[in-house]
Amino acid sequence: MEPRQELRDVAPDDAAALRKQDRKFVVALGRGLSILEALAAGETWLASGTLAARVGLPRPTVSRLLQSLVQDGYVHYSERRRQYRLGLGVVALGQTATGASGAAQLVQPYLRYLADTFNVHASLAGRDRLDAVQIEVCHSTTTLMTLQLDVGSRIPLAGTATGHALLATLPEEELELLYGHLSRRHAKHWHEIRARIEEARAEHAARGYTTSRHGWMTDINGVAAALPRDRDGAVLALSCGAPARHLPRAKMEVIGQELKRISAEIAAGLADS
Amino acid sequence: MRITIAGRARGDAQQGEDEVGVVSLARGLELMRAFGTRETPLANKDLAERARLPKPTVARLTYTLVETGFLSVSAEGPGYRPGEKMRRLGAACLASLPLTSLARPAMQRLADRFDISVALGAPDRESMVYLVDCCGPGTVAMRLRAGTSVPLTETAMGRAYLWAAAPELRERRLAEILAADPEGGEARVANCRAGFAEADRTGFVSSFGQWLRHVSAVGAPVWLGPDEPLLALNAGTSRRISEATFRGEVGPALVEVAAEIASAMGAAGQTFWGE
Repeated sequence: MEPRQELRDVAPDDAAALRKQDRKFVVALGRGLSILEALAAGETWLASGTLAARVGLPRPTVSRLLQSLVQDGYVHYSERRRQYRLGLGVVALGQTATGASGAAQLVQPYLRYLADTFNVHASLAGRDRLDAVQIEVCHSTTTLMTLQLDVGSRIPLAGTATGHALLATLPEEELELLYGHLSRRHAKHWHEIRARIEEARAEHAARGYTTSRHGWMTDINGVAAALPRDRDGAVLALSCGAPARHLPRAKMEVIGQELKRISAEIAAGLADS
Repeated sequence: MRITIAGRARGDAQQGEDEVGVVSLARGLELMRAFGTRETPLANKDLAERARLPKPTVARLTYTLVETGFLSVSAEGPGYRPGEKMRRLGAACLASLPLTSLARPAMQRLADRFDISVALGAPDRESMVYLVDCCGPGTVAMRLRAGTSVPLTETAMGRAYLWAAAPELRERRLAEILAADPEGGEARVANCRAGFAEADRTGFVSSFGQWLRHVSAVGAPVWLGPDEPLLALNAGTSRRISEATFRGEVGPALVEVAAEIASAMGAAGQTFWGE
């Protein structure tokens, strides 16, 4: 694991202290990026005072950085609300290909097939630290019943089929490192959570997919399969989810088989491209 | 790259530091833009050339971008690739625009009806940036995704936007093209004006192989309201749909989609920025 990964994973205060000693680190850029991240993190609109508190910087500093970000279109300011949100400038930044986007493009027709055939929410997800992030999603069009998960939405790694699939193909040493972080986040139920992840890994190894009943929010069932690692080593997972009553075990098994087949097809498609 | 520094003449050390900081921030974001639609990695040397900055400056910026997860070191040789966080900023912005979900149904219906790609874009500097993209069942391969930037003057989407934009803005853009491209500018401006004349009659602009040789497309503006940003739609395909079909059926249908989007936003009581 690279040293920079460790830097990213330490608590914000420690990271700030480390960076202070790091002469190559361009502080203003780091601060501006942390403002953009804060605006991408949850609530759409934030006042500059709230933003300053979130990123842990003095208000005047944040105001000056915001002024520059607004001028260049990366942040939008609403006179009416007196608040800030992400601007269209970041959309052009975000377009570029990550390891995932080739897969995301390839995967969309499959997601639509899954969503329409099984009346489920189908998605492609990747991992960011301790969350699974939706990269591409498809809601079922034949039913109104769906999950409120869109591109960029996050769900926890622990306790969700998607999260477990993302952990299913990790090598031991990477998994151990993640377990360290997860055990701190889920200190209270860690023993139980770890047992469920191990169970899911075994299921994935044996059948090519993993299922979760009543995970995340208690009434959601899910089934997920990891795609083989891409050339950047990123792990992605295909998953289908629905309210538990619409996704009984037998149906999850059928979907699981489909996910296994489709992930093999996508992997072959990616290898060709 | 142009960076303007707010010229307040305070002259104290703090102010100087702030200005340097703001410049560094703008430069760092410019470097991220340089990745554009590239699939191949960019090294410090490439970035220094593109941004016209000294290599040591670029090295510190890329170092910072890697530290923060916005760039990743390429696994395929020297250079960097966009980090997942970079992509996530754009995704978060799009997900929080009410338009992206309200516009999609009408766009998807059109995409399915003709088996074409349909996209909605907004102006971003000298380009149109895609906010929503839909494709018909057979057009997956040529799909340009949300976040893609396409040129203003060469594309049906860009010309539709210019046609509907305020005359001063439109003329300024055309003058800039003439100034920047003394050789080909005249022809490009003439093509734009032909598109405007077409739109005066029909409400849409068509382009048959003028941007990418194998792509046929029509574009139409989307008016959301007086205080709202002006947007534009395009519908295109690389497959053979006759020009007559494009002009006679796809174009008029696209104008209807533009109206549907505006009324969906109105019905939901939403503004572009979701204020």
